[in-house]
Amino acid sequence: MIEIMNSGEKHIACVLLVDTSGSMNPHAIVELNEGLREFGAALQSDSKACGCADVCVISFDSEVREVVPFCPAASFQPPQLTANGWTSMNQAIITGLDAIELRKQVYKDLGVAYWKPWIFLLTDGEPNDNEFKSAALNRLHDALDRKKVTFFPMGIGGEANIPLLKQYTHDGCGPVLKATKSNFKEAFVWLSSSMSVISNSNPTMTNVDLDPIPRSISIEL
Amino acid sequence: MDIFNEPLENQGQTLIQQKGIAAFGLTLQGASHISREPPVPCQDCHGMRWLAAQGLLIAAIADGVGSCALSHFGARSAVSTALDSAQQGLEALSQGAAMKLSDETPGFRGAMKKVMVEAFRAARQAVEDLADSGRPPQPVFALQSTLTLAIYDGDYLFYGHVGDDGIVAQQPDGTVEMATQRVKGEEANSVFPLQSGEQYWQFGVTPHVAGFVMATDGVLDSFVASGSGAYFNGICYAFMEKAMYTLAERKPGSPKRALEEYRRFLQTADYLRQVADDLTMVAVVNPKAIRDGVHPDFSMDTWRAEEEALRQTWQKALYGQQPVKAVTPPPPAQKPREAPVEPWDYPLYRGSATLSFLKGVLSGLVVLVAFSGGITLGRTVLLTEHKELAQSYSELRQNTDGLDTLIDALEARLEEKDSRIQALEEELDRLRQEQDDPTEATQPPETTEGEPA
Repeated sequence: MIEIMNSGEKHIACVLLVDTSGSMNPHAIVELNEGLREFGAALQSDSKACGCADVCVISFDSEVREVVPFCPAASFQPPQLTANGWTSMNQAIITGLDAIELRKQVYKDLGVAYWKPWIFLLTDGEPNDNEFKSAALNRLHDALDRKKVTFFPMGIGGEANIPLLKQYTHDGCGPVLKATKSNFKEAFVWLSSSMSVISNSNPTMTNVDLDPIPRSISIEL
Repeated sequence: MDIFNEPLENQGQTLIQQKGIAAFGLTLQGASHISREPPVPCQDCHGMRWLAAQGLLIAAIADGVGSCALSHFGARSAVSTALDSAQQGLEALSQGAAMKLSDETPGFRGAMKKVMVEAFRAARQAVEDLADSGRPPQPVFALQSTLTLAIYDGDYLFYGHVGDDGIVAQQPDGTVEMATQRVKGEEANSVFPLQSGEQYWQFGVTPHVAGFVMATDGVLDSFVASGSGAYFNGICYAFMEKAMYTLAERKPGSPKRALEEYRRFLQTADYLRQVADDLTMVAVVNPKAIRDGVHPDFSMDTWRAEEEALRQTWQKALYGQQPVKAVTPPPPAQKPREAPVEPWDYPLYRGSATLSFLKGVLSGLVVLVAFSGGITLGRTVLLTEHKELAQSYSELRQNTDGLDTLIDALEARLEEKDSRIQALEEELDRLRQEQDDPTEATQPPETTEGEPA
């Protein structure tokens, strides 16, 4: 009888950088919390993504906090976030990149195969920590140039600085997602289904067809 | 007509049964390739030949890089060219006589390595030439693939290898281990193909091989553990055992039986649940060496126990808590396997965008959906990456043209300087002549103040 080994899941690390600055009050923070709940529920309903996706949530306002350290999607508990303070987006990006590098090192040390990690950034304004902007841009652009990470920035609401977010994408030309403050939680569902697609895909088919972006979300190319 | 618009079928099988050697080779299109719209061609390829005069079996496998739109052409070209070159090299080396790969005469191993290196260089060049022959010419990047080549006489195995394919060899004493070292990039979906450079090519020889399996990652990943495998050198021998011993049976038709068994197995729901990639497997044995050798002492129970222990170790290391129960993924949606693939329309990305645009035009609501949702982020990434690649290629061509222009300018300046040097030398000769014979002077000497005229 021919037998094969259990191949073991190939992991995908996903870092969610979420804006919890004061301007997210009163409605957007509610939408964000609901979005994170739906994100977790959607991941857990997919048995493959459940075992493959490792999720970390980092919030940023006046401080940057790792509110959910890396955990398997199967045991992701959505945090209950509150909004207050300024927008330390650049520091959050640096923290997110550090978290991904550490995670990849753990994978390498264990001999665990992994897909290219994702960073999903959500903000409703623009950063106040410009003294860190150069470092954040350099680190992020270097990671994108060397194809070490996939980056999805999303601006919500009319005050989100989309041209500024574009600066953080690859070559400053990449797409930026855009949504209203009252209707962006679908982006989290799309994110979880996209991770599910990746988890279920053939790892050698690097260009997989993700689900269509929800109608409530637009893409600034 | 553009060669890349011609349909290309890489699926296939080969069988060899000669005195002292039995082998089968099989290539199947992956489930994920079949299920895509449009289907992606089989990017794996294999080839196998029996060199009767030399008493050698040569075999090659290649796996086209998944993100490269024409890599099925590249894989086919690499395999056929490597085999052609190896055959020519061996025929020249043997001068038509039988060969023993255990030959200890000085220079033999060097000559064999030369055969291998030249086969790899020929394969790389052939892929480059193929890319150039397209109308329009295509970047070589689009045709990248791995390559593994084996030369076997029933005892010694010479190999060349680049990428994440591999060869697992069984020796008469029951040892089973990887002959080659897999070359993978950092991520699960990255690989160093043939075109990465000669520093990534491996060449070697394994003596006393009773049988071996060559496989692309679609098959190799299902029985060779990544990372350091403690038990049985990380080889789940239960996968290849059937191939080795069926091929070794003293019955006619044993290669065909072995091939059919593995064809059935590789298309079962259980297998497809774990592997959706293209599948290539070549199994080769010296039947007598297998029958007379030690049967590898492998226990599937021990393997499973070690597997579970490793998984729990990983879970604790990754999450620092109680291990999460392993989940069984659902089988992927399957389409029935069909015969030849549709003609491949390159560029892939342009075709997909056109289809999306046409759908959008058909109705007002679809236009709205296509604009905001039909153009998916995934296709946007595809378009962006394709644009970057085309731009880089164009820049490289421009840079090459620019370099040529610079070289021409530098050569012109060198010529000018040479002329000036020649003129000065002639003047110097004239002055020397004048010094030797002042009556020959044609110009009055210069007068310097304070010196006699």
